[in-house]
Amino acid sequence: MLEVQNLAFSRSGGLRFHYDFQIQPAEILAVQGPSGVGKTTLLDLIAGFETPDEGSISWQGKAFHNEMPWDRPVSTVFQSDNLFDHLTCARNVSIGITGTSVSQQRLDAAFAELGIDGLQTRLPGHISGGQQQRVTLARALLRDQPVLLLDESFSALDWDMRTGCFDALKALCGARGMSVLLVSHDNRDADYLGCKVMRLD
Amino acid sequence: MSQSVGLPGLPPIYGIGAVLLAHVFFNAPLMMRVLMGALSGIPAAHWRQSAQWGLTEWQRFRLIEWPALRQVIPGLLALVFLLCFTSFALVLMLGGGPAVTTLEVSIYTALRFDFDLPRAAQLACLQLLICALVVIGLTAFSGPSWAAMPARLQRPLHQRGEQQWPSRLTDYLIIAMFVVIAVLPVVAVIVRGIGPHLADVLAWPAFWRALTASLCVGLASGGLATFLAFMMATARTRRVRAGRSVWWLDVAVSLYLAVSAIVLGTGLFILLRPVANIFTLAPALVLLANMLVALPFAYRVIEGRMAALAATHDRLCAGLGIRGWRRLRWITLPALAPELGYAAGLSAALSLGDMTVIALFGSQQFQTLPWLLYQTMARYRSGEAAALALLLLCLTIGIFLLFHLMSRRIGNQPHA
Repeated sequence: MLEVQNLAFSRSGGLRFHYDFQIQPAEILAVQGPSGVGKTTLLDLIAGFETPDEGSISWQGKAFHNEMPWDRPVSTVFQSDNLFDHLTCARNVSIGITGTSVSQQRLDAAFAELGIDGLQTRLPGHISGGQQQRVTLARALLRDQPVLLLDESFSALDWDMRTGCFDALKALCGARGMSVLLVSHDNRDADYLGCKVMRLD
Repeated sequence: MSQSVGLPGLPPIYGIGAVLLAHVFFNAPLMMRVLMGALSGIPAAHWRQSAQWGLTEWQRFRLIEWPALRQVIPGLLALVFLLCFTSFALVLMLGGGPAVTTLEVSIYTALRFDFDLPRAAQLACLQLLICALVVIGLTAFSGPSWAAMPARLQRPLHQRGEQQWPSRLTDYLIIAMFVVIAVLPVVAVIVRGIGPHLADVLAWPAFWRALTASLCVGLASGGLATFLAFMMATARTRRVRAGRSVWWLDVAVSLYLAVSAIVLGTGLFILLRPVANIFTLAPALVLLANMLVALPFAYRVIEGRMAALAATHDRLCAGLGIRGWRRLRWITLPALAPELGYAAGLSAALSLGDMTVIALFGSQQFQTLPWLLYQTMARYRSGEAAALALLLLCLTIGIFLLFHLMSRRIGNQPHA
């Protein structure tokens, strides 16, 4: 279980954010709210890109809010710039896996699972936006981290492409027991995923 | 040149007119490249909107093009001023005598002919002071990025039949004028260089010695300048990432542009003369001075792109744990390859064509191609000099293109 307890963070200028919630394994939580209420800041705190003033973040009871970003049990999918333009899709996926090498078989299986088989040798600039985000999901799948953070990752896609990505996400979340935090502006996203919504004001 | 293009009867081109004309030829391509960079940075949406609103050519220039150009023109004029103010080879070759001299040539004369070290040092300080004042004024006026080299050009946006024939004609005339200015001197070198003297020059042992020295100095100083510029840009990016200030580094690099090759050479001359034989150390000193002269240009090329890459890649790399050597090998170097190649090609070409430092440290034992060319001209062997100029031109362009194209190829190929 991902636990965010009494987490506080202050921006310069006196703006202060406060978070307290839990996400069970295999659960998706959608975070909604107007601009500037700290949705992306929350993801940055969990991913380790920002340091909280107080509070704790833990996975299965083990706190990780003092760890470096690469040592946290977290994968993040940003809205854009998730892939390196000069690397093939396969390399973009395998470069995100540290510690162990990824066999070609596992790589191909992940691409097939997400419906992007055949794109392994292509460059990100030569595939569609929806396919790019699926490649990023393939990386998240192979990284095998229990917490997945999605920062408006599918907002730029049209509805059909978005629902395709959501289907893949739901399957991934259910099969792997991942805790997913999804920042989204669109109410339809949470409706389609059938997940809980946390509203920030 | 007049003979080459079939215009007999013009007087020999020496003196102030020739020096001025040569500097126009020399700086026009640089100005065009920087202005092109500024224009290509205009967002595509602005062009599309201007087409939808039906703006005239003049309105489009005033509202869209001029604001972009206005940002780079003061800095560009200052850069060209610095390049002309610190120009050495053109004044030495085309000045025609003591009547047309500059601070640069006076420093050289004081050092190499009069052997008056205090006077050379005084003139060098004066030159440094004037250049530094220009740079400081501009940095205060337009920020530390004024001397930035143009970044990677964007893909052009094609639009349907907007241009009227008067503007098309004007464009053709302007481009033709630029081609005449930029290409004519090169054509003159080629036309005069190809001839019976080419074979003679290729048979000179001195040519092959000078070629070897030029290649060694050019490649080594180009490689070193690029490596140092890369390390400096990396250090700057790290400081930015850590939230530490970098303005002093930007100002220092801008100020360093005020240090001309002759000032650097004079400094090295004065520093090392009491402790070593200058002419024994000549190869190392020429290499070092050329590397230092090329460094700010190489840094400007690399730093801008590296900052943009850091902004795009930092979080992603941190999140994925791509750090240290892995990041350098798989992310930074391939993505930065075109800029590294451009910087290395530019630095090597600058060093290959250097006449300033070698004029201070050159001797019969250590000659580079530009120095051999100057000595051949000084002996009024114009045929051989033209052949040497052609060979130097081919070498400089060849080395620049080699670096540039190789790195573009590396940068464009997919990395699996």
